[in-house]
Amino acid sequence: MIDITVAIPEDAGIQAIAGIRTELAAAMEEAHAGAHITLNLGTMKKSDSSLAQLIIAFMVEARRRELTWTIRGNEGERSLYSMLCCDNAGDSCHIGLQRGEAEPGGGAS
Amino acid sequence: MNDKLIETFLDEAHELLDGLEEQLLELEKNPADTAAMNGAFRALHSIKGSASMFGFDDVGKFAHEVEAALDHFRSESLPSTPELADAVLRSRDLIRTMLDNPEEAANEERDSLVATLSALAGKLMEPAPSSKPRSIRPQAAVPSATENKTFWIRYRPSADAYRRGIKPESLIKEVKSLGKTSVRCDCERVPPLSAIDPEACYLSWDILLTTEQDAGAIRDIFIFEEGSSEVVVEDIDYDDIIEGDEVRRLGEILAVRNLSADSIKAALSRQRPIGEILVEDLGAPRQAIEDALFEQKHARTIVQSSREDNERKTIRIRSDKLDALLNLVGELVTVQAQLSQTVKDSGDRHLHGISDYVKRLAGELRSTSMELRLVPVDSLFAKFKRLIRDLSKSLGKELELRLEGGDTEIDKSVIDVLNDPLVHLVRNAADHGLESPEARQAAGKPAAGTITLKAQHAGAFVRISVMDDGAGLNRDKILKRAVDRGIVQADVQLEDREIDQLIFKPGFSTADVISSVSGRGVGLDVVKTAIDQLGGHLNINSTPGQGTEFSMDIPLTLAIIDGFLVRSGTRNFVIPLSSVDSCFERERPANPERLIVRGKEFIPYVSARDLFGEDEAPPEREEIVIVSIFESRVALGFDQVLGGYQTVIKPIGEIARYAAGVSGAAILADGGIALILDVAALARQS
Repeated sequence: MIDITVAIPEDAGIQAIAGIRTELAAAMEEAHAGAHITLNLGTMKKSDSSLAQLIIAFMVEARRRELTWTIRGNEGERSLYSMLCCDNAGDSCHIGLQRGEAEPGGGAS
Repeated sequence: MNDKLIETFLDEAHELLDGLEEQLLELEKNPADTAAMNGAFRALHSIKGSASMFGFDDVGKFAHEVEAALDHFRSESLPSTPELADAVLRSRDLIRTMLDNPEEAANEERDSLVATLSALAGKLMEPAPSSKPRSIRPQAAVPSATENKTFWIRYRPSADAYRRGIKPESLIKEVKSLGKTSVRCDCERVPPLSAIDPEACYLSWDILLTTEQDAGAIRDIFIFEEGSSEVVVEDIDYDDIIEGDEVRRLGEILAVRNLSADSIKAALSRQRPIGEILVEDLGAPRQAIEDALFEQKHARTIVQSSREDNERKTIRIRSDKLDALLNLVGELVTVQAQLSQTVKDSGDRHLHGISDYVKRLAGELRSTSMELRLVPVDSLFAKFKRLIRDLSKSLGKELELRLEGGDTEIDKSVIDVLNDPLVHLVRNAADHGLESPEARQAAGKPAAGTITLKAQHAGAFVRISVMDDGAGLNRDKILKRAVDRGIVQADVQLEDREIDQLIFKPGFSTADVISSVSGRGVGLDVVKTAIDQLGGHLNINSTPGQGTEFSMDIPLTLAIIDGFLVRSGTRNFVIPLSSVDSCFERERPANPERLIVRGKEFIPYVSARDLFGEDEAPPEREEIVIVSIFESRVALGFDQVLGGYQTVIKPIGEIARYAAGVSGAAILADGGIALILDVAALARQS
């Protein structure tokens, strides 16, 4: 099984978002059904909601292509909830409700 | 207008101005800090609004001018500049003067600042509005407007929001700062990666905000989104959701929000998950259920937080009312001691029980009223950020301020008196203590000098220290100046610590140049006098090349203490109980001693009979009380230990200056007088 890792850069703000999308798209192209992609947020220092929506777009695309994924390091300020300034409102929060396929220990919801 | 309302306005305006100063100092350090920029803007906006409402029209108009300049930078998403922060800081000072001493606020200064701000903003300011502003934050307005409201804010940024420099999450954080919030983000419209324009915004947010603010304050946050993005601020009726301090159930919320109550009731009787029943049986749209859940969760948070708030509500009380309360408690403590003594003499067991109860109540009342007056020293330290910043500019030195122990609490009256001595010491450290950046670098130090303000508790005392990492005291120069001024003889031989003490002599200064900061020979003697009058002590500790530390040991309170009553001959003494380490009895030595041995430790010894004199013949046995203050310990010898005693401190004024080792007096239950021992002074003397 192919396992691809994409490291999100330290500065992942809006200025860097187009470059990150290109990297993610390249990883998608490289992968095929059943492959696993790991997004590593562990070294990221700066981010905003544009990165969060890009990661959500990545998850939508990955599901469509029948890929699996893990998001590593999405804790505290690096979590999607934090990037979106969103409370972890359980079932009523749309992040989890619509896209809840991330894996334990690194998932998005 | 009601004086009390004006007073409340002024109190709150001062708080806002302090907050504004804090934000501006932050902005000066980090010009791109949008949170500080927005915070400063909001503070000015509030001052403007409330000033106009309370009839301070000049303040309102001037604040408008300053706000407009700041808004220019804010709306263009431009980073602040040192000049902008400086001009707004000076404007903040002028607003304070306009509020406190309007006659001292010069129109020329105001015009000059407005011109500077106009130039900085790169445009002419629009004239100040003559009418009242659109909205002000109720916290700065009438107290009756403090009832909470809940708003449902729906924010859908336009697709080009990121490209316009908008950070939606920053705006949401600002909304969060207004009150209690629940935020959910809808990412339903985010397309797959292959179709996304990464710089376009596909997100939208729902925010439930429970706040004292009005809708205007919320709209102010989204002011730069008006006309571009979708922002709906809806005042929702939360009384339907929260009943008393209970949150309604999901079905009830849906009923309130237009689902038939009867059909929900029927459905609820079935044994299936509520969400399933509502969707499948009643055809309730999933969105409606999610909204109801969202509201329910928020309501639960509010109810919980309201319960917690109720447990620790705060009110604003004038400090003179607290002083009056403490005086009364002081009187009560004295009367209670007399009552206890009288009951003890009477031998009435029934009265004894009542007297003990009164004693316990008086003790609890005393503790509570003392706590009311305790203020974290942070409130004093915070002012020094600005002083350091101004000194740095005027002296041309890079200065850093480090604050430690800001949560240390001391009596408010002590805080009030400490301000001026601390200002003197900090100015002195910046001007004389710290070298120029060039001299520091030549000495292998960082160019920026550090001044540290530190507070720490030790029993009934607090130690406030001002430390610098400068060159240390130049003792040769100090001695020479003291000889030149005739303070000491030319041939005198002094130890280092004695030379250090010379700087506290009136009129002493080693400064070669008189500056606006220090060097007029006024200062350190004033500091010493102020600390002495507080019953405290000023210490100095300097190491050449490494820096100087001034430390002030101050009594925690100037009013009531738990004391330890002792007697020597015909005299009674009270030792602050928190200073007492241990006590023991021994045979009185035949010859005078300077030290006693406890275990492996040699402890300096002072006999109260030797210190204060006594005609009566001493008993054969002696009571030794070992007291400690910071790092020092001293053994005090008395004839008799009488035990714990709650003491109302009565100042003895000027006499205290000549009575070494005594800081005050207390009235005893039998009407007699006891001297309160100054343990720190006794430790120094020994």
